[in-house]
Amino acid sequence: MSEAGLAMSFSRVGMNQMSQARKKIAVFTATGCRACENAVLDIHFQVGSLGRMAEVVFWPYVLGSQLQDLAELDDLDVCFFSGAIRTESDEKAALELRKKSKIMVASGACAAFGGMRGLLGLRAKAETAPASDPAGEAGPPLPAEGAGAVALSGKVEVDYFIPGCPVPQNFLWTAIQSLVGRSLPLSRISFAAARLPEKIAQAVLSGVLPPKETVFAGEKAVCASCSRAKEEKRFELFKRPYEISPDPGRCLLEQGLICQGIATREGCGGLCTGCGVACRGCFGKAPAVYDPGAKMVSAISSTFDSTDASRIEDMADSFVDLAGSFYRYSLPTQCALLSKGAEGKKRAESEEAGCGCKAEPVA
Amino acid sequence: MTVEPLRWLESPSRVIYDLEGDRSRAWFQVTAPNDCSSMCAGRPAEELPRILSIFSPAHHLASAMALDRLFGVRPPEAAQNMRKALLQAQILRHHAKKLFFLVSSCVDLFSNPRGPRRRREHSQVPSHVLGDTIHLASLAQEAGTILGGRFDHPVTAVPGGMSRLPKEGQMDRLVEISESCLKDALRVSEFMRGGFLAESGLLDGLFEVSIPPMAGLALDEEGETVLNEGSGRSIERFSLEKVFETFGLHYEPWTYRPFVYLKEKGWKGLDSSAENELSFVGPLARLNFNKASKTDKAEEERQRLINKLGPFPHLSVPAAFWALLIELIQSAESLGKLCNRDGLAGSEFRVIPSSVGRKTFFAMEAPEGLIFHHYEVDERGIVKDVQVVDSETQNNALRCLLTRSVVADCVAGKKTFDETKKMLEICLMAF
Repeated sequence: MSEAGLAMSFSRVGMNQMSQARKKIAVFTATGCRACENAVLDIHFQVGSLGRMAEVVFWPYVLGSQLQDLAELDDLDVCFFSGAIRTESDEKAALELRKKSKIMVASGACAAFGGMRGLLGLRAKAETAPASDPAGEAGPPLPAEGAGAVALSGKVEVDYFIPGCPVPQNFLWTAIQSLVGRSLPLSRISFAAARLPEKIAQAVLSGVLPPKETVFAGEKAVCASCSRAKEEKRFELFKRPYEISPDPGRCLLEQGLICQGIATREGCGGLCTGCGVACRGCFGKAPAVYDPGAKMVSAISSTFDSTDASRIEDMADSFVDLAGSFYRYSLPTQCALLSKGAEGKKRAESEEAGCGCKAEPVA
Repeated sequence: MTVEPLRWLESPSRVIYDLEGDRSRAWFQVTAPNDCSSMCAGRPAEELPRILSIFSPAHHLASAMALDRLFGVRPPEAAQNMRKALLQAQILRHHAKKLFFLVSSCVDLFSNPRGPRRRREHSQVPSHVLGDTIHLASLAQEAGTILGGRFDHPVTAVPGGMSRLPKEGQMDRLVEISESCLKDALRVSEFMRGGFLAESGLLDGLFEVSIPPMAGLALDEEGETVLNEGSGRSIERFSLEKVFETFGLHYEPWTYRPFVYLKEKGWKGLDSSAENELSFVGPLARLNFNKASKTDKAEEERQRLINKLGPFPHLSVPAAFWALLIELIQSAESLGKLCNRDGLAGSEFRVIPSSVGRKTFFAMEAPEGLIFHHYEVDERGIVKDVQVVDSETQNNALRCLLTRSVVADCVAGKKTFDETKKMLEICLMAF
């Protein structure tokens, strides 16, 4: 066979593979800001190229898909779910999409951890809805709102996570290639593999799914990729961000600013710190961290540059809104984790009391 | 019948309509709460620009400017220019995205390009238009990312200025982007203006759809809020401090968003917009001031609109989309003027405050329309209360009234569900 003929054959095989390999995907935002859906639209200016590997069968924001059509859809391969669960309508959509989807991806900080709406959990008391005019218009009832915002994993099983507020395009494209484009040639998924931790990259290059609950981000804390110089961490005085214009080359924490980088998973490339503002943790907690708030308290307090008790007390009093800073994006999932831990401990204690043997408390 | 969710709108929303005898009833509902006050209360004031950006990127800028007033500082010139450039990039991306969505209503976005020939509902959409529009949006997004750190949740606007200025290489790229943006904007406009007006164009069946004659609200050159009645006459003018004394928020149990109304006139329900207690914001409200555009090509486009549709004010759906186009061109030209080394360079990009006030107000013309911010803080600069009136709240009444009008027309014209849905979505997106 001539070279041209061979090339034509391969090209036909490639086209057949690609047309057979097109996965059915859904993109949905519950209560959120659409930034994560915009990230799908803006993938390297090539949103249309998504059509090469995927059939987008459900995308209300862009295609006008209706919730009532979900029941009639064939099973989906991958669902990219953004936004927090805030109302019963969000919960219903999450349950329905989970039932239909082989793979569920929590895309963005809101879906992955609860997001900024999770700060509702810190309000002193629940707001009562402002009074409406009793003589006003009657209308259809609204979906009931929940007590606060819940991450997707609080309602359904989630297979993969893409953190960030919003998701960065490189990891979004990486996740799409890994989960949707697995049958693509190596040359096409090498982009994905180059950006993932080694074990996950190996899975992707082998054409298998990454391990469940993989987070499409880095393996260390933001500090590992932050470009600022880290010298000696000594906290002399806490400073509010408006009080100083920080030295552009030096670690922000060392300059007295509360920066979450030490407790946050890397992957953004130190975007915020590179712009001169502190990290606020939108990529979620770093892999080795159980409680980002506790990690930050430990990190900051261990660097206090004083041994005088009253001085230390003054420094501690000067901090403001630590909970709102340390759990800016992750309050719902962190609370859920701590509740699970407390329940497990209670269960272990009652089992121990019941059977007289020592049970290991669940972490 | 339920249209849920509505395409292209930022907040989760739906339309429910039914027939009662020979009359249709329709409700436009925003189906998720705003949560603004609850999220912000207890936060340090300087964190507000990063938190409030979840409403739209422009809220990040508005919040930083509100904090300039709270902290009593005036940013250096380079920082002010950078903020202006960032706003122009935001306007460009916002308007380009809307035009992209409009074109996408006639084109199959994700058909396999290697499969059967790409299906088109509409033969008058040339194949390059979608690509050109999304490319323009992407360029604007890149400019916004350089200037704001991130586009959708920017971080660089801080009280007193910006957290950093663009680096040398970024400046070169900004200049390239602004040149490309203008070329793309003019190329896109050639198709769009024909598409808006041609029979069987993008707005098929929607030429006659208009909003009721409600007042338009916008900021004038002096930074005062001006209410223009439906005929274009200026009827009220008030300073920022008076905004929340002048406007009230009315709540209905069937939508999570309140309605903005003039307190002086009182709330009279959604049927009495002719009394001017209701108003709308956005590009069309701005253009209804009937002032010349700030840049040359945009002014040429504005004159084309006047030649085709007549003098301002306008309230129709085609005029609303054309207003997007005029502002798109204006932003592309303005970005070019702002992205230069003289304007964005300097050693000073931030002023450090020395005191904190207790209250602040700010209003800004965001891409989507006029937005208001009001904060109260304690002596430590911790937020006690935040009131943000965004453009979706400002236009909630307009959207409800437009929904009723479109549904009534569709029912009378015996349109199918899909036809009604498409008309609703295009009309609502225009405002």
